[in-house]
Amino acid sequence: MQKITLNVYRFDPDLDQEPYWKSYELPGREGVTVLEVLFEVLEHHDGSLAFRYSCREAICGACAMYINGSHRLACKTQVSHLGRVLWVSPLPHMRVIKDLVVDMDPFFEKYKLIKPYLLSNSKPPEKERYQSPDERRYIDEMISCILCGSCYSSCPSVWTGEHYLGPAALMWAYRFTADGRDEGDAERLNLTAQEGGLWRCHTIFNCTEACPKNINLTHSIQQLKKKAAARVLGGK
Amino acid sequence: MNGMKGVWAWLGQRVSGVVLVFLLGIHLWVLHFVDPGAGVVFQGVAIRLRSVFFIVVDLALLAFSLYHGLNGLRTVILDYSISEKAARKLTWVLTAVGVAAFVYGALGLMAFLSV
Repeated sequence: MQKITLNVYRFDPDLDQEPYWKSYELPGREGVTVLEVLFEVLEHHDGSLAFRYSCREAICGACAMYINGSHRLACKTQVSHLGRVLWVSPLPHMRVIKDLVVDMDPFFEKYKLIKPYLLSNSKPPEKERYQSPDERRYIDEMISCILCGSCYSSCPSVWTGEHYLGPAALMWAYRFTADGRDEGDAERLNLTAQEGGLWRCHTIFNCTEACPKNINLTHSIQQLKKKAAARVLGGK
Repeated sequence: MNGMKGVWAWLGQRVSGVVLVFLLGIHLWVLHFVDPGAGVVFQGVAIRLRSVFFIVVDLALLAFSLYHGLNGLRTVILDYSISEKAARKLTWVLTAVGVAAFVYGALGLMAFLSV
């Protein structure tokens, strides 16, 4: 198979004055993924290349990167879909720790802020907290989120507003308010319907476009806005 | 307790947007389509602004467009994560600008009533 040219963003804050692109000519093969190409560099060319990965099957979200102009998961991106020249850089607009590794702390701090777990004051039932198949189906898409940070990195409101909660945190807040077993609607709306929260989303749809799991985050955020509006208008 | 903030501003922007579509519709229709041959001249405006209907429509257009524009500007500035204190000041300044512009515009609109 033809060779692959990998251009990868390199930056070590301890050694480099500024970031630079490094090119590698690598052997191609049928079915190779971008993550495997990065491993090829790590194992045979340059052991100092830094990148995150874990599951290698698109369920952990660790290997989200900016690949040939789009947010993608390196592990599920086939090189053959991109041509023979690859441009791989870290998630844009995030602080680079080294090479392809970015600081995810702000993202996870904001995610934790919306209390992404069941809030309920009622006594747990003897058997289970029942959820109908229809109710489960409604949150199906949202719970496929793997917290990779692609949406957060792609959002212009995040770029300009460092305190903005970001698409993932807001989508998760809606995911819980849309869950019949959860009783934390008021609490989560108070946390998210703030000037640095919901209202900084201007339905730009970058998050939805960037999501490697094809989640319509913008829709969820809009639904949460509607819930906040319904609450002040005297609805539930 | 309701600790939500910014809901009314968001809701107001949507409502004023929808109202503006109708008011601008009336405005454009009257100015450009009722009599396409007629240019906008002083006498025509003076006659129109002696009708209570047009004054009400234009006052509403003035109020809603000022609200929509200034609230939109506030939204743009808030996108840059300014402090809560600065945001409060900004709201007051924009409200004052809006009220002053409305009073000035309203006086102009009603100038022909007493003629």
